[in-house]
Amino acid sequence: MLLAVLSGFLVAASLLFPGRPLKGKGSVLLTLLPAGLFIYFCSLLPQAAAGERLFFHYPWVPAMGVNFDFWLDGLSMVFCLLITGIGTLIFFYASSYLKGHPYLDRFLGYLSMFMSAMLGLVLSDNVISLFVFWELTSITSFFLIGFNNDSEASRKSSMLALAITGGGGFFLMAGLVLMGTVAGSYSVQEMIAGNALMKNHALYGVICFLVCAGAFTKSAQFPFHFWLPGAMKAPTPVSAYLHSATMVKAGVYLLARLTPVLGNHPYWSLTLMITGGFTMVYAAVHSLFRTDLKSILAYSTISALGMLVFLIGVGTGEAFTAMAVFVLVHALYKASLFLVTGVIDHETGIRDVTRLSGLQKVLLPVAVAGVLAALSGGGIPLTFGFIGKDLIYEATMRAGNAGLLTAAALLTNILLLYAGFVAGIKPFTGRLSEAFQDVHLPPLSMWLPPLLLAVAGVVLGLFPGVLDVPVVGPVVTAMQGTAEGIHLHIWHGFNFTLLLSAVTLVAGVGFYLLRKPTHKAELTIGRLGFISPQRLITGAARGVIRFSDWFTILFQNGYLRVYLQYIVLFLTVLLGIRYLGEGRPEISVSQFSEITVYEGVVSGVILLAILVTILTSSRLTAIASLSVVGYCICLLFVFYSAPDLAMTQFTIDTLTVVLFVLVLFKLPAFTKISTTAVKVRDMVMAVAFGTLITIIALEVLEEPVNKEISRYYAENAYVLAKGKNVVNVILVDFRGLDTMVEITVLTIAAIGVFSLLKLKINPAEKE
Amino acid sequence: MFYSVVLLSIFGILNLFLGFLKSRAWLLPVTLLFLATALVVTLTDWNKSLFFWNYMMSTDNVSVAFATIIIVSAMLILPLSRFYFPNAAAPVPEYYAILLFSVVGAILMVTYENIIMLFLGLETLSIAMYILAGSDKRNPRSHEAALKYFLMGAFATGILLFGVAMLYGATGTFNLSGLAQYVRTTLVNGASPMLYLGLTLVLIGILFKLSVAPFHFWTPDVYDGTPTLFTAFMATVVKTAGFAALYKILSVSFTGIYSVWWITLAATSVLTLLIGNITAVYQQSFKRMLAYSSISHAGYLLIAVTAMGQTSQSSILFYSLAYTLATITSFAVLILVNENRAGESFSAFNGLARHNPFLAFALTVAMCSLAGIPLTGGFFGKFYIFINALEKGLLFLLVVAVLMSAVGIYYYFRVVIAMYMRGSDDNAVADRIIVPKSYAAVLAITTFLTILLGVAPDLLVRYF
Repeated sequence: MLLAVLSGFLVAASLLFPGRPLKGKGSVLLTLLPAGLFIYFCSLLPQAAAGERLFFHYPWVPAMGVNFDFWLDGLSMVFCLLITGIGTLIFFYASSYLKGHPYLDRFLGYLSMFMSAMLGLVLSDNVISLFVFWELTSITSFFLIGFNNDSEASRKSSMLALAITGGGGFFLMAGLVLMGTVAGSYSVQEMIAGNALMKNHALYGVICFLVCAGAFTKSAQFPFHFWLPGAMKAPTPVSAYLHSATMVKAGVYLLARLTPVLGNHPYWSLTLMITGGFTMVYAAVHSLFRTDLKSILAYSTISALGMLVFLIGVGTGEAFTAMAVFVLVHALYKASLFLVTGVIDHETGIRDVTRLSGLQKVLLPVAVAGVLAALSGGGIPLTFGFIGKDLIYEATMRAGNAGLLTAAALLTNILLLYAGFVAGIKPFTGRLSEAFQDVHLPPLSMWLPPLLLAVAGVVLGLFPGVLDVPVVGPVVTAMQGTAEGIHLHIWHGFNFTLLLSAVTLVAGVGFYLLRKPTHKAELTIGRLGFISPQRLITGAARGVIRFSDWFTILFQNGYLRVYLQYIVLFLTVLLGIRYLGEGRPEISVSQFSEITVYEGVVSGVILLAILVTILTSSRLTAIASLSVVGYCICLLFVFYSAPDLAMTQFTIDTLTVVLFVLVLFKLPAFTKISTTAVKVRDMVMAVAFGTLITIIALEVLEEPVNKEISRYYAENAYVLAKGKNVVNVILVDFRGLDTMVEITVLTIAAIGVFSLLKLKINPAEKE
Repeated sequence: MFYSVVLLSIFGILNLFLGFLKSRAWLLPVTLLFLATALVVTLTDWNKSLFFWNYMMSTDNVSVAFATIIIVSAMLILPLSRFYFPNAAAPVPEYYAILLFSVVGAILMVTYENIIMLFLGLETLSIAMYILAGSDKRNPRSHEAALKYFLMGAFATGILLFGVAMLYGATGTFNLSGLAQYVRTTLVNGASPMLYLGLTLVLIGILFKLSVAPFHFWTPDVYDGTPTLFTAFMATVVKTAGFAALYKILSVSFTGIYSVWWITLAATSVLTLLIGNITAVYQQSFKRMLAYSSISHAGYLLIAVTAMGQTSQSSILFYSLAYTLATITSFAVLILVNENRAGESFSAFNGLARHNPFLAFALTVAMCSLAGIPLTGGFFGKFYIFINALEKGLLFLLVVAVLMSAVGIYYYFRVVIAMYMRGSDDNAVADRIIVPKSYAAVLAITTFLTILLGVAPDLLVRYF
């Protein structure tokens, strides 16, 4: 099983990397990969249908509980068959569609990588490995959308698709990790076993939100749907495979997979029903206004995805059955329509439906495929689509609030039928225009796949019984535990459902005959673009960029003084909160020694010097008065009998002043003096910071001081080190090692200073 | 670890003497050999718990692992210097010596037991970086970077020292275990404002070096102006050492007063994530984007520190390693592109995939890793950090991290789009970049390891 999942990666690696052993070795040969996998999964079908537990365990990161646990049950089986089955046809088709393209190898490499990732996604029992595959599908989709990368639009679309699906992916990851933390395991099966815990957990709402955000972005649900039409910039086989039949259904798969864990809860069902229901109607209406074939198909795909999400939200056995059938129906007819479109585009170079007509004369087999697929998509009796639609009506009618749900489904189905007919039938009917006279049929590998898919849609409609026990039943079992009474019939008898089907059919066909897609309609809807979610979200993204722009200019303006301001401000706030938060500072003035005349005078001098420093407009005066402050502090040290400290301070201060003068003297005089407002602001900040530090310094006096170490040094300086100067002994003996390292640091600094001094820049080089 | 510190110091001095030799050919291999020796010596401390220098330094497996990351990053960055100095008179031996000294500082920062050693390590590392930031002596931008870095750094150092003094005043000890002892026993009688203030100041001092918002202002300007080779060093070694130091002091000494410091860290990490990611979106220069990206990754790492728990150390280790590898790749490709196409903006990467598929692939892997896309180390790094946050119940941090990861995709993939989907506009740009062997080797190693961490994280995780 591991080999089955990873084989695509191996093939992709051999196609993408230097050396490329498979390069140009007949891309038709590559079709054998999905075909082989399809046969493999078919061979497992009887076991899966019999309810046998097909579980494959391969350790990956056992320490974190992350493993490749592949679990092939009914739900994953359906998707595996779709992925490999349609994959086979797509590979076959693509090799002709892109014949002679310089990067065909790369294309097929991405495609097989995608197939593997998708298989891994639907087979994973471990949600983390599921997520890994999930993101891989987003990445390969990104590269495939950007495959025709000459155009700006193509790049934009691929970025948009990745930003939406990849960004949503992180929400999903958070949701899955959260689920894992709550359940104590990353295994879906174990989560199902403990689902009561999950549903009663305080964070259930958050989990629901995160998981749905992930699934909705991937499955193009409103309001994230807009990346999908953009994604149609990809070559048509990709649109058919990724953006219609498989990848976009990953979100649906995930919701279905997690239904036993999270489902049957008002949050879950309401979220899915409202989002899915709105999406299906919204996108179906939108598809009316499109004239580009792929655009029509994109919106009807979104609508169909909405339908699937909606059905999962309804949450009854009938709804699950309908979902299972509709997944198959949709994959078959939509992939077929996409491939038909691909042929038309490939042969005529036109995808504008208003300009296409009469192509059945030159592209007969393709026309057959298109018509059959459109019929199945429209739900004409005796096709598979008819059964699917019947089941949908049955599901909505038996759910609560049946009237509203059924009406929504009815409207969507009518519009979907219309869209399917426009895409599948319209290009082939009518008069063949001059321009298309010499259009000729492409090779077999391009018309056979859509035809096969479309025929499958009809055959399954005639013999639905072949599916109910092996395929549909197990899906429902996977989602709700049992699947009793699930039988697919070609005919459900005369009842209200049939009436609804008839209404759908008549209204849809009538609508198709009466209304032709026009550019005018497309323009009309374009005018409403300013309130579309795409506009709002890209607008928000642009807002972020503008904000970032504004923020950078405001804060990151290159001025050190501005940086320091913000930092001091933050420091003051942080320390202030930390300090005042601990209660009122306790400073007992009573214990301070009395202030003598000398100290008073010196302090007065300090204050005066500081004022001069602030107010003067000459650099030299400022430096000189700053040095007065320093020397006054030396005096204070002397008063308190700390001559060594005074000496140190005196030396350092002198040195600093000399250096200051050296540097600042070379600078030009001030040209701009700050405005009063700026001065006041700076003053407030300085006073606040200064006060805070003063309070802290005074407060520190209150703390008991530990004199153990100084006593130790004083007592032992002579005894142990035979030195009379305690400070010297500390430096060279007790803390000798520190001194040595400190000297190293100074050496490094000296190297730096020396190299700067040595530097002589010619005036010419100074710019 | 003791011996690796001593050895590297001596090797640094030896390197200065090597500068007297006429031939420069041996310089790089010898320096690499020095580092390799230090690495081997460091690894001999595995599974030992030791104290050195009268409780100045202590080693355990975590510090050995961090030291290994630091030395390995230095070994990966050094080969990039091979053709970096076109000027024959460039004082390359001095640069190498300074780099070795800075590695000494970084190792002190991961092995300190006494806060004084933390300070020494930090300063050794910082001063070396100030010099290297200004090493492009004829470029005013480099001067600006050095001066800004120095002034800001000196400010931070002052704050740190102030904090260290207050910690000592409150507890009477510099030792981590002594501080822990104080927190466990003495503190139960009541709060100690001086200790809390001291801790806050020390944290701010370290956060400064880690370019955590709002102390990040220097980062973009300094990263931008510094020669790219040394920016790579700053973005990896300094950050790894800083986080190791931060984690060590908090986990060893101050878990007892978690309630005091976690809010500060949580607030700064939210701020860092927001500022780092949102500002990165706007950048037009790849190098500046990497500077903001390094800020935002500091935010993710800070989440792991904030969620101090059993698994935090392995998350920080794993994340640092993944981040380091991807960052080295990015800077290496940037150096090549800048030298051959004369530009650091995104547009300089246009069409790189067509002419240099290997460079483009390596950079794509690095970007995926930084963005946290699966099958790269960055994904598991993020995964572990998310788990940390959840285990501690820090849901809001997780939400911010998730949102910002989504933003991250945008700016990381801009360069991927430029490389794969844009053609290069003029023909001069279209020329194939000749990749020197030393660069190819480094890129091959970092890319391989990035993927290995993403495919088989178990190789590393099982040890912690």
